[in-house]
Amino acid sequence: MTLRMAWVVMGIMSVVSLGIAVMFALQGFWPILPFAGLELAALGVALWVSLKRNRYREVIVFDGNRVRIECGMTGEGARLSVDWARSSTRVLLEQGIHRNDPTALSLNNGSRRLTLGRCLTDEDREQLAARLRELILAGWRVGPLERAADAAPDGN
Amino acid sequence: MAKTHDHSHAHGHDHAHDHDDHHHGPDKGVMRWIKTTNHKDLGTLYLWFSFIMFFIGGLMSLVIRAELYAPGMQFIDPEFYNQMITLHALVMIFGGVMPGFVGLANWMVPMMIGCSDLALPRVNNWGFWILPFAFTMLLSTLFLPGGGPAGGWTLYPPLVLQGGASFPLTIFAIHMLGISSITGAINVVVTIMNMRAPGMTLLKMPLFVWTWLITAYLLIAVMPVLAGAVTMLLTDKYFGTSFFNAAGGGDPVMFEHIFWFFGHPEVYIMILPAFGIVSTIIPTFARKQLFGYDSMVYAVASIAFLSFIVWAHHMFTVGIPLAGELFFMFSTMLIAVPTGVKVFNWLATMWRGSMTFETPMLFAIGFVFLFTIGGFSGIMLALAPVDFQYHNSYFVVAHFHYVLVPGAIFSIIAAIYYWIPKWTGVMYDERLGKIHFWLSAIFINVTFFPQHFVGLAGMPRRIPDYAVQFTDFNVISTWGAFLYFIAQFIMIYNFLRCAIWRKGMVPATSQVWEGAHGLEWTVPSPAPYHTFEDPPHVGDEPAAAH
Repeated sequence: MTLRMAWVVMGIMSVVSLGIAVMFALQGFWPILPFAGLELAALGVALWVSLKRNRYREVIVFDGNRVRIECGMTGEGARLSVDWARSSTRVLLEQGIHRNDPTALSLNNGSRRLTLGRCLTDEDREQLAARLRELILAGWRVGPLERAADAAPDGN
Repeated sequence: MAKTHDHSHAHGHDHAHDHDDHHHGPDKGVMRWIKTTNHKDLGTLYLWFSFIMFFIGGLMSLVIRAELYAPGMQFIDPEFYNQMITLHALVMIFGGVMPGFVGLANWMVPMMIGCSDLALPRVNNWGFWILPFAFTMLLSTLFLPGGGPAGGWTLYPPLVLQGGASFPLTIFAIHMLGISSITGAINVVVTIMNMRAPGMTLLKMPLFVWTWLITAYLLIAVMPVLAGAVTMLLTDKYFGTSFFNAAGGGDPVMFEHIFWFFGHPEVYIMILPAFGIVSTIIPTFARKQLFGYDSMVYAVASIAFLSFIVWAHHMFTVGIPLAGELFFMFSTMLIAVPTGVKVFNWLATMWRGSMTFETPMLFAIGFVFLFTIGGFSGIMLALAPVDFQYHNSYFVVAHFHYVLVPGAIFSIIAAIYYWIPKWTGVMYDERLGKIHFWLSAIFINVTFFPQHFVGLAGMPRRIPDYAVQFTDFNVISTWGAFLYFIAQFIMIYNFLRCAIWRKGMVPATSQVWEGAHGLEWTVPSPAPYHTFEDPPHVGDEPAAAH
């Protein structure tokens, strides 16, 4: 659903719901109006949250001895972008503190840490962690000179 | 939402919504059910809750029928009788039918549109867990001084304002039920609008999804009206307002208008998903595509629109102007047109189909036949001049029970028989299913058909005593009610065997039914805890084939 379509949905809902509430308010039965307003606000928030989650993307690109990660909304460009050396990047998959807590997947490079895959299931996160480890292993074969060059800050 | 690329190797995960509290499979123990955000778990919880409420509401109906077995007072006093009819309605409507349909929507809407869960899983969890607390509060009023609410589920003032301590608790419970309904409706709308599989355009959605989308729209439109109405009752009683108090310049008849402005769409909220279920089941067992898919969608939308402009047919006798009576009479009769389109399409789908009569199909055909009887008596009630005779009589009770029991409840039962192999991975006992259908179909008619006669002869509803000439039909009706209630234990046993005692049960294939179409049949039986981690693609085949 596009943002425009979401507005159309909100419009169709609002016209009917607010129309009914205003009609009764004009007759003196105003307490219906705040309930209609609250409900439409809840619908609007739900649509906004869902649209936002739908548009969120994390893109991880392995290129030679580099790993580039971009996070952001589709159509808005990357809000966060890092470019790290493959060889000095580690994958960490941590269990939640409580048994029912979700796992947390992060990429670590020196003191820098980037959490990924919050939108995935635990199973998906495990698969992604395994795949990332596979791809990063290849980076461990590069020499110390390249590692030193990669230690420079990347602005993120 | 995380994608990895490595030259030619690309491995992608693209998920449409937040899953961060999901696991490989269900957790163990009671915390699984309390904390779950999985649509299947919550669907199961909704359906069990609905069963429990049907059981409690059914017991209340047996109290009512036992009292009506003979003229005069038998077992209970009139005040308790009034509490029973009020709570029976509230429990069946808000505790049985609506959560039953929400449970089916939870289970099936994500699977039918090819997404992994509802858009807002945590909201879904909260929406369910409000219900047990709301109903505990509502039912606990029976133990308060003065007992439970006794003014009828329509809560008309000034009668309802004369209630005791149960009144504010009832209002609070209704608010909680409203919040639960709204969270469910918002979740369904957002999920359907935002999370359909690629290629699934609106006019390719299964009819069940369409009917739920329109039901959710109705819920969002009318729930504030109910919330406002009951709040005004509360302020009239405790804060000195006079919205419905004639002595203070208010108008008690306006409550009826406001209540039925909510109440009539509510009737369709309880029946539109049933249309979707029957439109799903009949093509499967007729082995034909649904006849007139587009016209079915438009018919459902028309019924939803008309539901907003017919409310005053519930109050023809209250003294509305003649022009008003004519308007509401004709607008009500208009509903017969889209309803007729639907019945025609169901019959046309069956026409020359390779029909087989498994239990879901029997219940679906039972729905078409018996719901139509309820529809016909509805047309009779729509006629303002003759409604003066029928109004407040047992004829009305017969009418709405024909619409709700073989209508809404038969469709919920049909849906469970239809999808339970997909949910549990085993086939139910077909022989027991058929016995259950025939006993239900017979006893539901034994219960409610005689009520047409006593109603036409003048027996009023909501009265625990009656004149002796109505005795015979009431005896028949009471026998029917008890036997119908007992017959439901066959279904409970059958479903428990599928869900819990599976030893010796036949495993279900992923297709389950030969003639079934749709995305839910592309996943294994039982459906995995997380379905469609990668969205399926819907091809160009016609909508009715899904």
